[in-house]
Amino acid sequence: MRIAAGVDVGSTQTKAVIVSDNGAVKILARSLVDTGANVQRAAERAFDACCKEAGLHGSEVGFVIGTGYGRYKIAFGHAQMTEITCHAKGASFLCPGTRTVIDMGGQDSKAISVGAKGEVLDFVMNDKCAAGTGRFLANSAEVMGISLDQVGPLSLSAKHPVKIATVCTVFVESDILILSHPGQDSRGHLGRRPHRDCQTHSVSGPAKSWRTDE
Amino acid sequence: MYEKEQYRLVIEGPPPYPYFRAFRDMFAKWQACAVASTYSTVGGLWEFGFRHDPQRPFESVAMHMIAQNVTNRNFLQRYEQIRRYVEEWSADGVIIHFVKSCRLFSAGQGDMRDYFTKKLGVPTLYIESDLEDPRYFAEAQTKNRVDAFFEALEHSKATAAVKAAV
Repeated sequence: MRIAAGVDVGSTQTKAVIVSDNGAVKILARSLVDTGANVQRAAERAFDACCKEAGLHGSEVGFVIGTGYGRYKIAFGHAQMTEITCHAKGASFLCPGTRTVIDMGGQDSKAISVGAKGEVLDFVMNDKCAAGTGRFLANSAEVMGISLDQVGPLSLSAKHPVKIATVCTVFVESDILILSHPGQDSRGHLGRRPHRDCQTHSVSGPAKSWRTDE
Repeated sequence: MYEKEQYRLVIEGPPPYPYFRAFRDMFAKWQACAVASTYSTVGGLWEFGFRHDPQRPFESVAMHMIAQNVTNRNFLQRYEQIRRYVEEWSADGVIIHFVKSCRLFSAGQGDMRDYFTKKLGVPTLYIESDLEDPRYFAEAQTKNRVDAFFEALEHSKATAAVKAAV
């Protein structure tokens, strides 16, 4: 049985997954840790945690591929590949027939057009501004005093979405503070804002254009 | 010099003067060569038939620079110029280098990318930096785009090679 691992060192979090191939590929374990300041150490921590969950020693993993912005810092990796290619392959493995992947990363967002064999047909990235990234959602959630996981359901339940003119991650914080009046269910009202921003300012445009083309 | 040329590219846009080494390394890793570029025609083009008139040298030079400068030609003409380079040089793709400090060159390059990718099916990479201001360059992001572009190109070349062998 062949065992391989992937370590994704992102700007905010580092993820690892271990898979076995015994005729069919199976996910054995996965882990997620905060990247922090030491990228190399984050990769090691994620990989070690994953090995522990799988009940394996690191030496039993035959091949390790690094991805994410810190992919070249993974000292124990055998090869590197961008997360764009990895997303396309991973999505096609988990959901055969995937045509578009939208990645809300910590510091950028990407829309990836995926081919029938999990290959990247095209991709666009927003890497110049935090608006429309995962960091935007995390910041907005923090200001509203809710967890990141609550943003989605909350935004969908908002009955009176509030319009905020700015799209800047930093300035939206101050707008949320100003619009959050005591005694109002402001979180529900504001919830839809980050959700919508991420749709409109990051990647929905290109993704729509691909659909139109098809 | 590469041991083996792997990819042939047409380059659109001014050079990244402040980051030549960084850009060189990013493309050298994939053994990619620039086989034609539009920037080399920024001083005026002869390839569409223009010839200087020795009887009217100053007017002729002026006309060449105004009417035959690549950035003064309309976009359809620029599209056609790049398309022809891709065809004549058997290029694998186009690299569009958007620079912040020269809007004359860069305006409309987003549409240009769509034209080559969607209308002509030519793999096209869009990257951004500058030709003089070092603040407009993010190496990690640019490297990510470059690597992802070549990973996709590598896959499509490998697939085409398999199909050709069958």
